[in-house]
Amino acid sequence: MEETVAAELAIIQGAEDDEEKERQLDERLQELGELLKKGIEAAARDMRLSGAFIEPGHDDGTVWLDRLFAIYLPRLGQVNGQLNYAQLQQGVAQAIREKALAFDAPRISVNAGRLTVIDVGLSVESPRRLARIEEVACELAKLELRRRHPVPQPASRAIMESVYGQMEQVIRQRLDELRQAGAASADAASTEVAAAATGGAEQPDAGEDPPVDRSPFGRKLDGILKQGLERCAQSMGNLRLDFSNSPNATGSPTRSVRLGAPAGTKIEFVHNTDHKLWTLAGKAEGEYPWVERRGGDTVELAGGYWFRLTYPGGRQIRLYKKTGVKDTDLRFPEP
Amino acid sequence: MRPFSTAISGQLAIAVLTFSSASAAPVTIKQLRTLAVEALRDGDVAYSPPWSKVSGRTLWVKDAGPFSDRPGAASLDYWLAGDDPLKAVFLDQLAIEIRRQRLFAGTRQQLIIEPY
Repeated sequence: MEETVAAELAIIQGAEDDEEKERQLDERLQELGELLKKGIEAAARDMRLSGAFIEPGHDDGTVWLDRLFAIYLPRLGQVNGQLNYAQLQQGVAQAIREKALAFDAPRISVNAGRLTVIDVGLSVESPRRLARIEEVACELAKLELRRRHPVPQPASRAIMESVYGQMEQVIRQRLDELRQAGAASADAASTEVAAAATGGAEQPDAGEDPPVDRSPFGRKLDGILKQGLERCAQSMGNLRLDFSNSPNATGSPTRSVRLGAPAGTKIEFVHNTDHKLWTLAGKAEGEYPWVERRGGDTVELAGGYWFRLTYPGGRQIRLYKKTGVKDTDLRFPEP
Repeated sequence: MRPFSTAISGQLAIAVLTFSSASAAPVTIKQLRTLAVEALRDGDVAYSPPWSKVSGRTLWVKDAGPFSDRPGAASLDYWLAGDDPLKAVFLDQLAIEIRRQRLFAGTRQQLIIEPY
């Protein structure tokens, strides 16, 4: 793998045009993945296991779906063939139990004649389109999470339970369609995802938001949910319903740290390892993409940083500081 | 479920690569290795370590990654290369160094997966 990284380094410092470099880097990246996979599979063989499941260090919000098909369903004895509703429901319940899903709980409030509901949101930052069976799993997960975070009023709970029953019916129907089409298995999901990744389906560019357009199946569920919530709002004294989908959740904060420097001090920072890397590369300090804050600001930091402080009188200092787990303040010298 | 390479070594994949800021001075792989070791030794880079466990007949491995494994976490800490290809390559080396130190630590599997 280190040879491959050395090759990547040679590519980016080489004379080829950007497009060619990017193409070559893509190849090397594939190679890195394959090498790691081979090593881990060798370790699995040595342990007399039947295979390995490797998940990325960074969860783009779809890792739980990978786990669902590779870990949870096999653990429940559901390995081959088309999944039925009970099996999928069990797998999803296990994913929730094991906290594999990142989600925002629904937020429900009553204020000034309005029932405001922000729906449960699964945290997905992946730009990839979900396989059809994955979409069903997501809707099942959302349904279960809504049940666990109910509208806090007894009459509404009864209304919503019947609504959730209707939504279950829609999900069952969709699953039946997929079963008949042979698209309700782990293999089918893998095939759909791989086809989408290799251009078989239109994919948003990396870095774009996940697709917001809902399938007809998703829209049907949304419609039933909103109608149910309208009924809740009426039963709570003719309230007006404000319903919205949850915005995509962002990653949990790293560590909030207050920058303790005199008011008016300009504080710029970069990761210390970036600073060292750019120094190696001969990059001038003026070219750094400094993050700029002011004394007294609170920022999210984790690890070691290279700071450049400019005090109100114009004096500048540079220094290294590291944030510890318990740090809530970073104290900087007085001018 | 996803193509393997992007599932495992996502660093380059999530970088939007432009080469205009490629290094002016040549950087060597030895320098990158040393910097990766230093970054881990000094605690300059926060990360979540790789882990492994056995589930049924499957070896389940989670790769090294950002400090928080919540979606979006990479944008909050060190693990996005942005438009810096040199950093993208460095992140690949850093991930290797983390795996070397933490994946299968103290077991026979650590020897099997070496040399990286």
